[in-house]
Amino acid sequence: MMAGDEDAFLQLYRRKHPALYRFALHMSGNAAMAEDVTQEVFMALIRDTGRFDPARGSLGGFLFGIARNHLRKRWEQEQRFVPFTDDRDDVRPAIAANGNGRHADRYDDEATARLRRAIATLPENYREALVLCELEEMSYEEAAAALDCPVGTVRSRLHRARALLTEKVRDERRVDRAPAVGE
Amino acid sequence: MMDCSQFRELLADLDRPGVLAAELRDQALVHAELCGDCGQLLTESESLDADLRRLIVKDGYSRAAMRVEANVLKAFRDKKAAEQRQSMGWFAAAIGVAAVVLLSLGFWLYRGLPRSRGPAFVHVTHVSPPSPVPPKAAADSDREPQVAVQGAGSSDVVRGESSKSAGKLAADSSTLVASDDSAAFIPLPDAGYPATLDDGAVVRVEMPRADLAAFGLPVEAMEGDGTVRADLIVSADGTPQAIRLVSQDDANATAQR
Repeated sequence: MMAGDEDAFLQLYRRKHPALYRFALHMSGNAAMAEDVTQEVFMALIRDTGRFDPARGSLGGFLFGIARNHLRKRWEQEQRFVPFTDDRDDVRPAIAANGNGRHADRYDDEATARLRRAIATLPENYREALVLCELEEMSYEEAAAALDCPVGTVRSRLHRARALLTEKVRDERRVDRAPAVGE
Repeated sequence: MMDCSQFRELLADLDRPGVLAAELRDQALVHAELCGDCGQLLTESESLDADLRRLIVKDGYSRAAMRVEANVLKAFRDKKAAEQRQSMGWFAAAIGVAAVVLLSLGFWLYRGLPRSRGPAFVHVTHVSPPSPVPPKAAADSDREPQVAVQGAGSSDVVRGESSKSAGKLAADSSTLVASDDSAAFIPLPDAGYPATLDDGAVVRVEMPRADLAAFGLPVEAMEGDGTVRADLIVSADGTPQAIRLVSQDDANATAQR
């Protein structure tokens, strides 16, 4: 790929882009933004191939790092976030929680839709860990490389994310089961 | 025996392959069976895992649109083309520099090499050091640049400021036809500075008669076959400076010596 082999680049794109796209989709909750971010990741790779150093980590981790940076840039640019009531400063709920740009709700069953909404409202750091370790089935080490943080941090974030997610799903179930006002 | 805090610590890793030792996992499961709250947590965790797996399956075929691939591929091709253009530019620049260097070298060599219109093929028969310049000629040469030539007579010393006129002068001399060792050297039209004659070697050569015309000599007045013998004064850089014809008798005597 570095030597300019188009076939190799195409293979790399086809192998890596689905995970990057899904990551961006789960993080943003917006299919258009996820596509833009996926495209930007590979554009950055084309522009500056020499930036990737195999000695510092896997290519996957490198690409996920670029994706995270682009997502953050997008969030900073657009400033279209839903107010989040959590006490954390770094909370950036996905746009999906807003109802705009939901990516798969119309095809989801109730439980999946509930889970998607709950994931979208997780704090960004927790959501990253959950998406990479649970939805992309990365090991702690791989996720740590992608998130550029220690393995222990990934592990604790994942545990916290799962605990929060369990609470949210439980709450949503409770709301769904509760009789509507006036009934 | 595991307690609840330890169980909660391990809960997220229970289903992760290769994270927990089998013994630790068994202890956690035993604890969940005995502890109602932890059992409830385990049930919720397993339910979450099932939901997450369903989400993985649902999103498993999620792909960016084909236009993303097309855009990325176009960018890759553009970059590659730009790099090729750049490398071609460097190649062309290198070729240009090499051409300039070669041209300069060729020009320098062309300027530096003597331009002789002498015979293309000569047969060297004898080489001898230059003859001493006669005292008279040496005295004359102190006054002005002249070609010092061997021999005597008014045509022995030829003014060096115009080799062309010297060539004409030589061409008028009929004594050249039957010259010998005492005959005068005639400066060649393209000879260099006359003083170089002092340092040149005398080379006896056989050369085609036709080539004598290039030196401005009267070839039509000469007798004999296709070649003639001549002495050339050759300067240190190999350029013929002057010529004189050698009679056949002299040539034979020299060869016998």
